[in-house]
Amino acid sequence: MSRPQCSAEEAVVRAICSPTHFDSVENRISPSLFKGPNTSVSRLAVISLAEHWDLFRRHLQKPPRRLEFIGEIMVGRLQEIGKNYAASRTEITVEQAPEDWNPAHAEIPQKLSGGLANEIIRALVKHRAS
Amino acid sequence: MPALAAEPSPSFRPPYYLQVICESTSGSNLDARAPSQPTPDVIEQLLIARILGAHGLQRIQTFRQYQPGWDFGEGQPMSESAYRYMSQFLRHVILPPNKRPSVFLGATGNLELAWEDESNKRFQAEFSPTAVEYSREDTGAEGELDASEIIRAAEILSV
Repeated sequence: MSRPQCSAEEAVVRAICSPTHFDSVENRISPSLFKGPNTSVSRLAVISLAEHWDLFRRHLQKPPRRLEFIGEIMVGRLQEIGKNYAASRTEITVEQAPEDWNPAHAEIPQKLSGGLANEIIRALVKHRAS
Repeated sequence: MPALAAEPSPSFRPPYYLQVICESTSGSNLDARAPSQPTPDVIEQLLIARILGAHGLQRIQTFRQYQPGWDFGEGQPMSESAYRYMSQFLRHVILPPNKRPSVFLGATGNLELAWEDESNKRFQAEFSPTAVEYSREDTGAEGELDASEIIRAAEILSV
């Protein structure tokens, strides 16, 4: 059964943790953050940004993994970047996939190239841990 | 039959990675052509420290300690084959001056390098036990090559 898709007007977030996805010395985020397939994101329409900090800290931040940022992007912006990426135009979708630990959980099912993932990372609004 | 050369010809140049190591250790008694010098493992680590910095080398050592399941039950240990391919890649790629690539570990155990050129255009290469996936933003080149074509990938991503 196909899962409901998130609308273009929704914002989704992704946890960015060091050391696997963030190099704090060189200040770089790994393109793997969005390569997928089945990249996990979370919906701000279901849980607020402030609540996401608590949720991600409780469930994702386990030594040596440290939550450094939450990256935010509109679903419509993701889709626009995919359509405009000349090297490999990609129809990006975001599917609702709630889980016990996170009812806002969603997934990007597509496998994205490293170059396209870099474009998405550049477009993220990065909220830094306080 | 021509005589075998007893000395390297005037045009002899050590492999790039040995030049790098010798440059980084100038003033020491390390010589690229001398016998009984560092073992291949030590040379490889010196090379990685020279290009990725002590910080990069430290990250790799940290990743090496990750146990199966590190990514919420699904993370794979760092692939030593991927490490060898990354090391081979670093021996051949020409990086922008004053840029140190970052090294990352993926949930599948793959290693990934990411860096930018002087115009802030992004480059990346991901190494698995069988292939290298790459992209460079300045030319729009991206693709995947068999691991046997690591040197070709290094050429594609050289500045």
